[in-house]
Amino acid sequence: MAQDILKMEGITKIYPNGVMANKDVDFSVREGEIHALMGENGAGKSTLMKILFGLEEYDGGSIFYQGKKLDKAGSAEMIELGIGMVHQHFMLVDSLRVYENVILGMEPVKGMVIDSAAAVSQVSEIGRKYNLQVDPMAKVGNLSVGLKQKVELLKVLIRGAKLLILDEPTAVLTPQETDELFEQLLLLKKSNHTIIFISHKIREVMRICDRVTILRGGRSVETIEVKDATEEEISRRMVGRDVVLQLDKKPAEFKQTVLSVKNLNYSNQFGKPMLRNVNFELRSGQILGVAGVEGNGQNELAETIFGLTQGATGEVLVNGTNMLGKCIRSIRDQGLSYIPEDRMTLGVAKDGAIWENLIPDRVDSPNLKNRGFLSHKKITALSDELIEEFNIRCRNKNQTLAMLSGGNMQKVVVAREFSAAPDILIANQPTRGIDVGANEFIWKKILEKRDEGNAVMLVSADLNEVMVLSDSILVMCEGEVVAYFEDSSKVTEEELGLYMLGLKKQGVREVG
Amino acid sequence: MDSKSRIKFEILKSALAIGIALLIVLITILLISEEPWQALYAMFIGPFTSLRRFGNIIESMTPLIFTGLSVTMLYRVGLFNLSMEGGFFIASVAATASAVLLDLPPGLNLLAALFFGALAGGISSLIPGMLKVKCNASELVTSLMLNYVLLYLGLYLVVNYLRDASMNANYSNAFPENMLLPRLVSGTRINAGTLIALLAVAVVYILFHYTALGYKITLIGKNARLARMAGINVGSVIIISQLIGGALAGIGGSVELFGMYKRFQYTGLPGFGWDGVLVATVAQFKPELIPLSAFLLAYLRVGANIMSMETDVPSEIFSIIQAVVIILISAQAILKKYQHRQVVKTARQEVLNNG
Repeated sequence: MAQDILKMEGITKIYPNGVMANKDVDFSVREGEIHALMGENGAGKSTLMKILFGLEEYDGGSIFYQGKKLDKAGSAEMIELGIGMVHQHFMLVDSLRVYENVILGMEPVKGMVIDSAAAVSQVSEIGRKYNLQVDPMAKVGNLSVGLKQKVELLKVLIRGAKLLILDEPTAVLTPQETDELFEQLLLLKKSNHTIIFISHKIREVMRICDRVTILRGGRSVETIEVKDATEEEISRRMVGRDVVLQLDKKPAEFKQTVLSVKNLNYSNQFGKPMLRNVNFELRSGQILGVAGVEGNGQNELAETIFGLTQGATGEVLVNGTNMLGKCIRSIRDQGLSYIPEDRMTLGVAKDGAIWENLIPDRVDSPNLKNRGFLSHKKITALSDELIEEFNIRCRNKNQTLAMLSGGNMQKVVVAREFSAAPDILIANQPTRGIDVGANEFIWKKILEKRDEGNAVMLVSADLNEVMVLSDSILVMCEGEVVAYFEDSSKVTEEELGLYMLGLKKQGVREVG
Repeated sequence: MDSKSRIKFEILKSALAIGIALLIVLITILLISEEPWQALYAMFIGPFTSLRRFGNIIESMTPLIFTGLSVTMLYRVGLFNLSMEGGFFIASVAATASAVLLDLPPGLNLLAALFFGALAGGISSLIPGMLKVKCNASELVTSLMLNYVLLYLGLYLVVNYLRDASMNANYSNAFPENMLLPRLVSGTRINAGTLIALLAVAVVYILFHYTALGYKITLIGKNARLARMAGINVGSVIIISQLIGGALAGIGGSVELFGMYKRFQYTGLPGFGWDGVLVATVAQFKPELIPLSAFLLAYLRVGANIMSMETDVPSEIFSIIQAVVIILISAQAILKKYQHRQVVKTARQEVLNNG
């Protein structure tokens, strides 16, 4: 049996906002294995890896690497020791070339200048060795997500890493790109690299991992051999109960068209076209999923409809009135509400109390006032009601938002936007980065909205979410609608993947 | 950490800042003075040794309350607009012009002067606010530059249009007797201006706690993008808040003028606006704490003056307190370690309680 290359014992981490992200976590990895670290969002996987990589300080426990105890050290020392990390969000400079990104910080020099030729050949050589084919001269900004990830791997390997940490590497990949990545990982394993693979997708873990450690609520639950385990077993350990992955979904009843987008075009502040001639219709009683590899215009589509962008052309007809270019207040008054992609920048004020975050869209409403002045009695009643209905776990309505977990913060956003009683709900990544419990809850709420006869536009990078929730699916690639499926049950994930990658495209008539 | 222990922590931080500042003053006095104990006595006990001196505290507190409220208002929306200094000054010029040039009946003349003061102050703060909203120009830079424009504009107006030719200095004509704010306590200069200041505190408190506008101002200060997404017209709320903030400084300038002077006498920026930053910072930008923090500042300033009159320590020592307190309170990193230890302790406790 192989030696333990890494051992973490009793790791405890408490964030400045009081969240205990890791509690006495034990974790050990054998040399040459692919070891999965699993758990729901918020279970403490990323925190544990950031501690290992020296990005976060820890409040208790100790780390042993190759038998030696590590003192609290920064990531520079970790790289020196042969530990490399590929972050969930790529750490690349878009305006630089591939080889420049790879050698950043360890540039070969000739005199006073960087020896570009040597750098390029170094990068190509490593690429050949590990079968990571990327053009060293390409600009990173022009690469696809899959290729960017290869650049990240190159970065780690060229620094001589023996232990690789991959933080949710498949989250942004299409099924085809995932297959390719897995082949590369198996190749790395053959050349005696050790890989820690963070994921919450059980099927992927079953496919390529040797062992799996499961975290739940910041604690390590268990480490098991993958070949002895079943999917159900692992998921039960992750959630701590049996999860129903299937939703109880009534058949959809589409009614009249409430939102109709015509010839929508939009270029971002750098002049890059993000939406090209987008046309589609949304009917009440329908959940329309918008699928696509992130960065292909889905976010811009949602934001443009809700009036958050400027300079778009075309028409956004809400019940027949063109709302493009109107102010957000009047768009909301037309019965739209919006769950933003990034709750920290757009969704909440983290220094505000829960109640402050529940009322911003309706503070002018007479329902919250008493003779023209804000009535704290009415605000309290509303807040308590929403906290109860949306199951927001907190001490009380006065608690600062930053003290809540990601899932509960998102529930605050959902509570606000759902209770605005929208006819049209635009949900942009509604369950990103939250735990399974909150995820399930939000899904149910979205279905409830639909069953009440409202229209929902669901933008999500999580293909599973799109497949499970949507009645109809629209696929975007490079700002264009490349496919539309009226009935989502008639399409497979693999097929969607082909459209997302731009390998297939429906004709104008089919897209409708 | 819940809101209660957070407040405890903030108060601890303010107290620590003032404590350290006083300690530095103490050491400085011990080092430079030949009569340190008399100096300390004069500084800390001196202000309470006579009614007139105590009156001095209340008088100097009044303009500080106005500028403290002004800074609170300007800052809560998330802008660092420092135009309250120039606004305070130009408002007193506008109030002087109204008092000297307009021949209005008693009562109405004072109201008109306060109104023009508020208007002048409001416009002063509005300009950087507008530039921020419309052109995204840094309000810090524009407001600091504007203060000089306001100073020289004001002096120009006083010298050319309001000056009393019989005086040997650039003073304005005297105000009508009936415009001077009534004195409340004989033997002091405590006047009705203090009551107006306390009224302003109540109004600003109500604005922040019981009106939609106050809520919006605070929310924009916490996350302007959320406010916009929720359908709030962020630009107009910012502009209104700057207008109100400037108007508060403007009323302060006018009240100070009619409460303490018989004619316009400033030859430079009086500095009350800068003091307002200190007052508001110590009060953690909470209107209800402004009177307390203004009183504290006025007390220390009066004490420093008494000390310089009675002993060999100059009153500039007060500037040390001011500087140290601002630095310490605005330093985010101070007590971070302590705060983290508290957080860790609470979190562990909670885990124990919840099993």
